[in-house]
This record gives sequence, structure tokens and C-alpha cells, in this order.
Amino acid sequence: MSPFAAVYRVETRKLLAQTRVRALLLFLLVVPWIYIGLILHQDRLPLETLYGRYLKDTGFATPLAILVYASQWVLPLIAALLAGDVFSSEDQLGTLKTILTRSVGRTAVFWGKLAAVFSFTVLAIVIVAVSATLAGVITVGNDPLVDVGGHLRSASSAAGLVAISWATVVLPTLAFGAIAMMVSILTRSSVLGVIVPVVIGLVMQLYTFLNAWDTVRHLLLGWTMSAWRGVMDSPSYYTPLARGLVVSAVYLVVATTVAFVVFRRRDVAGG
Amino acid sequence: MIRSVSRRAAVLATLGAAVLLLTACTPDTTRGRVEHDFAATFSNQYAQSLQRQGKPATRPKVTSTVCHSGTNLKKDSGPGTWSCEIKYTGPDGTRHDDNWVELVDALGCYQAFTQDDAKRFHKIVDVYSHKAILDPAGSFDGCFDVYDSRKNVSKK
Repeated sequence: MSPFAAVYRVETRKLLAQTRVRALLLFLLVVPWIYIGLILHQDRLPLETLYGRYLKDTGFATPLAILVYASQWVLPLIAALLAGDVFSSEDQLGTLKTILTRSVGRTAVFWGKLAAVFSFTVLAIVIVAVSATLAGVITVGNDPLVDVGGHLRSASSAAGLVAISWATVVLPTLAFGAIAMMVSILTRSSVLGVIVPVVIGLVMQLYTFLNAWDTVRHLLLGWTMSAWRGVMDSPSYYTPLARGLVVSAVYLVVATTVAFVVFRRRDVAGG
Repeated sequence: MIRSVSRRAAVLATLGAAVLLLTACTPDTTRGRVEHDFAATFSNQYAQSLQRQGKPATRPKVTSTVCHSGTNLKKDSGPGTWSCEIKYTGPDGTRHDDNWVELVDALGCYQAFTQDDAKRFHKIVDVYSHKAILDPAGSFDGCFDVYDSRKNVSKK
């Protein structure tokens, strides 16, 4: 087994053994069911939310309405909770020295941890997306969905659009995860590793909804998180998504590079 | 000394260029985009409303769409509350002149609804799902591409 695969396997087991991670995944599994249950038991609809008006018409509106909320603060929080202490916890427990005296190098440790965290982040997104779709389809039905261009989409087309929409938020969420890892390595603090990316996400979100310079908004991760709306239009447009993915990739690469360089140069023996 | 001054001048020039670039760009929400998307989406929603009532899905003939921002009083741009007047002829030949409100967010999407509450909250029975749904011809959601060429922000 390669050093990378060995680290990946161990880190995956460690993440799965954490109560916090299990609770998070369970929370993401259950919340869509509670949400649509509450909607179905009230007279009013969240008309101010995109796709809120269709929540009782078709089950495919549920994952889209939840995506609107999730892209604002839930996804950065998920990324931060999973990635924010993956390195700093080793610092605090004093286990980094032990790991680095094993037969795997720092490079393998870094990329193995990163791959494990990113795998769980993608898993968390898949869980909430699938759970929300099932919750909607089972409780409301798989009736056709109206897109934001005013066209009726068949159930199979709607399911595909829901899948694509959720897929578009994977890269910006991983970018938040990379930021969390970078902060975790720079500060050696699990608290800051979790809180800083969430605060960054909230600030970006706050700016996104301000009537301020639009050019700056296009450079924020919150913009990419909402770029799926163009995919749901007819005719659909992809420029916001394409540009947003480039922006997310820049955040991801820069944060990962900083984290990698600092981790490689860290004086572990000296504390 | 000369090197320090030229360095400062370069930094100032870069900052100035950045500010100019940020402020000179077309706003995301423009009158051109709002009017075009509202008219197109209304037309589709109108046809869909008929289709879901079991009638032929015929689009209305939109003759005029005029939208103004109620939030930005200097020019027709930016998120906030917009009012739109749409004139169209229905499939039965009847002429309509309706006033709508659009709540536009900063991400290029909006919730639109007619100012006539009877039409806004009117429900129809969908022939496909047999559910009572809000009439799409009275309120709907829409989004527009903030990178398209419709940059008109004139109040006139």
C-alpha cells in the first residue's frame, strides 16, 4: 500500500470514528425530512425563497429550496466542521511528532488528510442532496417542475437538473474546506480552524446580498454557490457558473498551496 | 528617494485603476435585463398556466414591457423593488395592461407578482397532478444572466 493510501485509510477511519462527524452526517440526513414535514403542515409557503412557491407542487422543489439555504451558510459550516481541526487536533494532542516518525513522509500525510477530508465533504453534500430529493419526492410526489424560465420540466429532466445544481456547489465547498485546513495549520487552533472559514463565509454572504460593487461579488465563493440558478433557466446560461468555478479553483489552489508549504516547513520537533 | 516616489506612484496608479475597474463595470441588475427576462418568463408562465388547466398552451402577444427600479432613484439598476407594466394581448384577443412588482435580489433572481391580489393568489387545479396550485400567470420566480449584453439602465 502506498504511503498516501495508508494515510487516507487511517484518516478516513479517524473521521468516521468521531461523534461530531457522525452527528453531522445524521443531521444532514434528517433535516430535509423535518423541513418538508413542517412545510406540509402549514398553510403558508416561503414565497420569498427561490422554489419556495413550488414546495407543495412537486418534490423536486425541496432539494432546490434547501440548496438556497445550504449555499448561504450550511455548506461553509460543513466544510469547516470537517476540515477545521484535521491538522490542529494533532498539534493539540501532540500526536504530530508520532505520525511523522512513521514510515510516511509529510507530503503523504498532508495529501492523505486532505483527500480524506474532501471525501467526507463530498459525502456530506451527497447525503443532504439525496435525502432532500427523496424527502420531496416521497412526501410531495414526482410531478413536473417549473424552471425559472417558466417551462415545465419532466420528472427525469428535473431530477437531472437537481443533481447538476448540487454538483455545482461541490468545488466552492471544497474551497471553504481548503481555507479551513489552511487556518488550522497556520494557527494550530481547532477553534479558529472551524470559526474563521464560517466567518469568512458569512462575510462573503453578507457582501453578496449588499447592493455594493458587483465585480467584487463575482470574486466571492458565495457567488459560485448561487451560480446553479443559471442552469435552472430556459434557455440556460453558464457564464456565471464557469467564472465562479474558476474563482473557486483559485481559492482552493491558493489555500491548499499555503497550507502545504507551511506544513512542509513546520518545525514539529521544536513544538 | 526617486525610486521610493515612483514606487508609491505605481501603487497609487494600481489602486486607482482597480477602483476604476470595480466602479466602471455594468451593474448586474439592469433595466434591459429585468424587462427582457420578465417579458419572456411571463409569456412562458402564461402559456404554462393555460397548459396546466388543460387548455392549449398559447403564449400571449406582449406588445410593451416597461420596468423601473423603485429602490434606485437615479438610474434603473441594482437589486430591490422594481415595478413593471406589461401590455399584452391574450389568446382570445383581449388586451391587457397589468402592473407587476418584482423583488430582485443581488444574485440576478427575482420574485414577480401582479399587483392585482385576486390574480396573485388565484389558484388553478393542475390537470397533471390534480393539485390546487398558485396560478403561474399571477406570480412566479425568474432569473437573468448578469453577463449578457442588455446593459440599459436609463430611467427614460
